Amino acid sequence: MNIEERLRDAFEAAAGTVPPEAIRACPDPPRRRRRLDMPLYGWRRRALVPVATAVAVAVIVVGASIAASQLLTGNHHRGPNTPYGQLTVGAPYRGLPRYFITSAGDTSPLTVRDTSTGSITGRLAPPHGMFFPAVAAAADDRTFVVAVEPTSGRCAAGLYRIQLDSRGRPGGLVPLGITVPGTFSTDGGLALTPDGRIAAYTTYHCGQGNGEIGIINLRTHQVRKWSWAIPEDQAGLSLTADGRLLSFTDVLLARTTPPPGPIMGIPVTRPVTVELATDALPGATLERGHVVLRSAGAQAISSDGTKLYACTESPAARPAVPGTLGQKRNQTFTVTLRAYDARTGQPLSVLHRWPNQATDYCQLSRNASGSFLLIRLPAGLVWWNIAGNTAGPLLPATGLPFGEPISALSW
Amino acid sequence: MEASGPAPANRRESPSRELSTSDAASQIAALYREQALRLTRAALLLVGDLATAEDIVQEAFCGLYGGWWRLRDTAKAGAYVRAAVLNGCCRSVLRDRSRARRLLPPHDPPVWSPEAAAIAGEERREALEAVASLPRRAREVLVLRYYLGLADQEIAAALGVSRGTVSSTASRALAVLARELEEQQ
Repeated sequence: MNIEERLRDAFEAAAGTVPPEAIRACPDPPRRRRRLDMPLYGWRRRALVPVATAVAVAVIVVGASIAASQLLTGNHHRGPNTPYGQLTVGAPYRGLPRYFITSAGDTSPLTVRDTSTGSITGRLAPPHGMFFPAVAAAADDRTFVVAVEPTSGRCAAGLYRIQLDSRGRPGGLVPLGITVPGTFSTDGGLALTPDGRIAAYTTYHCGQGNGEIGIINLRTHQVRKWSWAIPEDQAGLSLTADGRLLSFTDVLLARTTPPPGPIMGIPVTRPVTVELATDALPGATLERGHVVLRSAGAQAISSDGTKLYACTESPAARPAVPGTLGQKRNQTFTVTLRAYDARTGQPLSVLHRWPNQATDYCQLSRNASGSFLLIRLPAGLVWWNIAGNTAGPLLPATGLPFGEPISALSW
Repeated sequence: MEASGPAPANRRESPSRELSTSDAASQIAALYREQALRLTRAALLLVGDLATAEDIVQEAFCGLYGGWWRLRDTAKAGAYVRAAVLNGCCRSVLRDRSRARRLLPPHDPPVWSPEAAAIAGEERREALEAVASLPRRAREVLVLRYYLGLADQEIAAALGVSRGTVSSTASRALAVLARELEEQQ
């Protein structure tokens, strides 16, 4: 019996423990007061006009103060709202990293693409029975570190280096002699400093319900690790240029017991971004880490450690049935890129908005030198120039086969 | 399930609305009879205990009463309620209850725990326990694919992710499961 058959069998067995007669009766329609038709008497009628007036005044005052503060502080939206399709697709842009790599997270090859044309410059197949769960780039545009993990058997991954030649073709896998326990997280499980000296990883310990975050000096193989609740949605690791600060996203900080530091004591149920003071290994302390944001999804820290870039998704219009996922195809979303103060989490500015996205999805990867963000939207891949505050398209969804799963993305 | 769209723009109480209300109630009741058992079982696989699973399904159908008039295509009510069950399992207060169960002494052990002893066969229990230790999205994908038998496209729509994400999540989850179960043996 293979794993799929075994799974079906186990699910059917567990489901069979619920007999049909155990199902409750259909719930009655909720009873609602017919407020619109109900006449207002007494104090309700007398209070209606003053309350409505007070609410209207409050809305006007709050709106005006927000607008004024944005104009005065310059925190208003700088770039235009840019529907993906209105830009010149695939236009080359000076200063972009030359190549980016994607991995499907299964046994298919790593794919290297040219950022100016979107064309595939090379592929690298994993060793037999292995796959590439994570990849991270160094700043020289040629060096990448990948994790290689067996599809079955041992729950551990090895780290390897890949060097691209001048035409973007990957050389062989060069073992770094480092094995990390566990299986890699879905998104952004590996980060690298620009010089390729320090790597950060996050893995999940198979069957143990927790994971670990580690910082490795790739030259000395010195490792510093912390046990951590498994990042369920996305890890999104990013390191500052000096390797001193690490940011990542975790949704279940409160689950880890006992709490090894102050972060762990915060009862958090929403996605958060926390920043660890890694101090480039020797003095690395988890205790100095802190929660920066409590609502961001994908995020990355700037290379100097002063800002945090995060994208959020919001529905463009009221959904057909509020609060449901099943209706998302009928509405559009706006993905917004914002900058935050990495120390306080204070919002600094709205950098850009991409409206008319088919789903609420955003994946974000900062390049190793810290000058660009690579953002995966439902409509395609786009770049954001951090210094120039400009955005542009890299590959539309039709250019990059978006049915093709992307588990790891790096440039 | 009637495929015609919901009634009319006039949202105030009217004879036609009154007629449609009873019609909607009967359609929801029929949908409940058709899907409640399967959805409850799917919710059980995700949250682990029957009481929470039943609450989630009931909440989803209560929500359907409220949202019926905004459904553009009532034939999609099944997809709506399935998404609402997933929301209930993973994003609602009920999810917090299920999370609290991990931190507090359990009153009702999860269906995959040895204490529950409801499932015949140690191998099945081990498989379910391994699934329970996976990340949330992986659990959802596996239950939707291997219990409800949905296609990847339907799973993607229900979870609000791309089809590629469904495919990669499933393949990675299967790899982890295969590895864990192999180790146990």
